Amino acid sequence: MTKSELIEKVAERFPEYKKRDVERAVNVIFDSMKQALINDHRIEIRGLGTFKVKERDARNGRNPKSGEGVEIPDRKIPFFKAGRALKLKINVD
Amino acid sequence: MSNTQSTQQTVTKAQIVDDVYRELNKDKEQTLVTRKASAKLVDQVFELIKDEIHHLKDELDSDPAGAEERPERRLKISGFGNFIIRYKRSRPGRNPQNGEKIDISSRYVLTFKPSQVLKKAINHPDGPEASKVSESLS
Repeated sequence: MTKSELIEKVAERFPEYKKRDVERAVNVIFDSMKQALINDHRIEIRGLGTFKVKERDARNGRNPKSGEGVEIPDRKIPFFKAGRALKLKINVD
Repeated sequence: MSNTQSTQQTVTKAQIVDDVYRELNKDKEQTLVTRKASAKLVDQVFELIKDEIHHLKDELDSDPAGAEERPERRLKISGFGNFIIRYKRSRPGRNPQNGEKIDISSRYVLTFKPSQVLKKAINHPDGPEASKVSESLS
């Protein structure tokens, strides 16, 4: 499923809204989450899981193709951890 | 980069509902969508995401390619990332505490692969990737 398919499904559940408004709402949800991560905040969605940003120190890496040494600067990486309920849901039927 | 675990704020659905509410009612003289309705909308979006993850797992389950092909299914949110569901075969493992041998059962795992846009936005908050689809978020 893609975001546009998700928007379609949401629109089906809310026939009282214009498709355009549903699309805006879905986009804002992900923008809001993106903004939270930019602000270094943790996101907790009950029943789904948590997102957080971890920091990685700079290190010396290597271009795997050429073998050339490259410096990899310190950076932030977003992580998601599935919630317990969801993990159980996908493993028990 | 002095952010520590203890000072880290947590964003919940309430904040997201707030952003959706403001977006849907911007430039409008009267409230078009109530806060309660915005909350319902946000809830349904997350419900649909969970349903889809469950559905993708069922699809994987009945995939004739089986574990050999390392099949996976993705829920793709452009500009944000992919949720990936994978099947893991059972494998021998050890309890790291006492070294005891245990069998790790086969399972499904859900991972998230952030999009380039999201990674860039987080590392360059002033760059173009950090901008919003809608302009109403402050």
